[in-house]
Amino acid sequence: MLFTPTIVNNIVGGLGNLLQISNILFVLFGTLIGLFVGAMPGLSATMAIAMLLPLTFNLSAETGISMLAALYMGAMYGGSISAILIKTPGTPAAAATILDGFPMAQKGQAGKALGISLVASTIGGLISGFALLLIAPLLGNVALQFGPVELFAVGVFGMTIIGSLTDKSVMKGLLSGVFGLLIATIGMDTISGTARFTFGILNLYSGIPFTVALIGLFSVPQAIRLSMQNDDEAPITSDVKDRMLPTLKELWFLLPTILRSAIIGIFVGLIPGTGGDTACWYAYNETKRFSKHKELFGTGLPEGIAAAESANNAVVGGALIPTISLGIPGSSATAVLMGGLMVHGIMPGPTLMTQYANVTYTLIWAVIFSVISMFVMGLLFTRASIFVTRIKNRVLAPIIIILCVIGSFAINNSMFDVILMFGFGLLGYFMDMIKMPTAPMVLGLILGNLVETSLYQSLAIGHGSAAIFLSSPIAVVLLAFSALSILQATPLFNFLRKKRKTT
Amino acid sequence: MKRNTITIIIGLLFLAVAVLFYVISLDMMREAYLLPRLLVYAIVVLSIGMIIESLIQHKKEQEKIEDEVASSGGWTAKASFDKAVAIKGTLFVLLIAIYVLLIQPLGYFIVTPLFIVGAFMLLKSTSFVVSIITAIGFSGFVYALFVVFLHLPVPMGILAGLIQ
Repeated sequence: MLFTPTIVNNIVGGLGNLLQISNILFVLFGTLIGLFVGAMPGLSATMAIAMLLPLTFNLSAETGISMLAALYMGAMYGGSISAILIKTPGTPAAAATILDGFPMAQKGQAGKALGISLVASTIGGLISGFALLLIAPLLGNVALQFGPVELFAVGVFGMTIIGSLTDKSVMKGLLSGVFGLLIATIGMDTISGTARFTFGILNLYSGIPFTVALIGLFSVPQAIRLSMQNDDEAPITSDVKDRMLPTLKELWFLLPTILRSAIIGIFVGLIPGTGGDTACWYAYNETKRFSKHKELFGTGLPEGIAAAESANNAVVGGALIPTISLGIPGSSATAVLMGGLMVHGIMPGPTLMTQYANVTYTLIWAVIFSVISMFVMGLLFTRASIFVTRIKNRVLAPIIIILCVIGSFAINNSMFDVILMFGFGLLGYFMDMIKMPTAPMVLGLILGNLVETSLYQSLAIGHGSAAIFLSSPIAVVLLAFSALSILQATPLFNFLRKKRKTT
Repeated sequence: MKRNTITIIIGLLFLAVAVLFYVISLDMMREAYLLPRLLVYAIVVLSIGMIIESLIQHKKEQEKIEDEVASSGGWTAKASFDKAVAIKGTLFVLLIAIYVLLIQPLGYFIVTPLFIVGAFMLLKSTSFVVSIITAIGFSGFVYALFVVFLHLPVPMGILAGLIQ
């Protein structure tokens, strides 16, 4: 039997939890904030979740994480509003929406373009929400069989894959991840009971607070960049005069595109290190490939919008599957969501589906409910959100900084955390300048404890021999994939590839 | 500063941190140093790799520029670096640093509105009057959200006794 009575009980319990009025209100609030934040070209979904994470500190874990997940879902649709109306993606995940969304708006069909985006986002989000509900418990059940050897392999696999799947330099991606793991070792070592790399600073005894690091790494660099942008010229905004919702006939025509793109989104989300920005382009290109009138893409074709928007919302559920069943975040945004759980003392790993089942299953239902909430909020507030697309980047930059400073102070009531956040922010800015991704560093900080504990336990089982990692087929496969992803970044691989081409 | 130079500086910074952690780990027991040392080795390899990669790329770029110069009879389109933008960015970072340093001693209600007005003036975001209205309105909104609604702390500084 695939679904054990415990899983069924947890699913029902999670739904019951979500239906509490406070949780529903916070999901609605999260969706609305996500919609507005997504519509602002200066803010990405990841950054918004990082920046608003401190708001959840005094909420229960279920309520806080549900609000953040709803924010993520709402931002995925919100990104399309500015993409369609002002030709600037509100979030990187809406980049492909511009291609057909803006031309449609220029033709006086802005409402229709937004409506297609909303419906595609809703269907894509719902499919991925139910995929999450079906797959995560099963994968979580498999992960429960994992011992320290497999957990170590999962941790290493997650780190190397997120580092090597970067579209920039693989070397930089891996370095960022490994450095994150190294700074995660700062503080009291749970195994030996000694303080490590604390330099006598008391605040460092409990380690680097990952929330502080992720607020700094994801938000401050963007604020600095925004401060340097010149946005004197007001963007050309299209008016929404026509009706939003597509007719049933139009929807029927778009359905195959929406379904295909949703599946693409789920799979892209599943892979650690890739997110909505990858999925939207992949789905758009696939839709173009399947289309009989390829030449019309980019001129204002509804399929183009439907593909990109269905895929980027489907990423939310897909990316949450490895996050909650294995503890390996599937995207930067889910890494931040993971941070939201860790604030409440919930550590990543297979125990999420058992020990913290009430929180995890509430989160799953929150994702599904946030899609419905997004649809309603989208219908009610899309027109209102046009105003936020006009907020200048130079206004946003200081506002972001204030939220970062106050948020990082609120974590431990400590100025040390604020200074640390600013330090990480500057580091993130320079890393961004040299095109070194910051997401692997955050993942390293999150997974540091899991990787170290499982490494130590594995070696203890193997009496100190590293051969223990070859005793488990799952570990061997995962470590082989990890090795392969590192090797493909080396000059040796390029040399072999070139040689193969020439022969 | 060129991207290439920043890459080398960050590579050297990571390398220096790794070496420092290695030296500190010399006094630790095996359980404590095992993972950090493995990571140090990886960072040493990756940092050096990144620096070499950057140098190779720089050399290629230089050769490309030289080729362009040769093919255009001595003329080339030199990448323009907007100094004014860089100065504005640097001043904004300095303003953040001042905000971070002063928020605890002077308190949220004094420093935050000043930071908003200062940043808006520096970035030429809005007029002075709008800056002041935004500063007061936003500072009040964040206080209400964090302290009144969510019961989270903000640094009150010298106004601690007056407001709380």
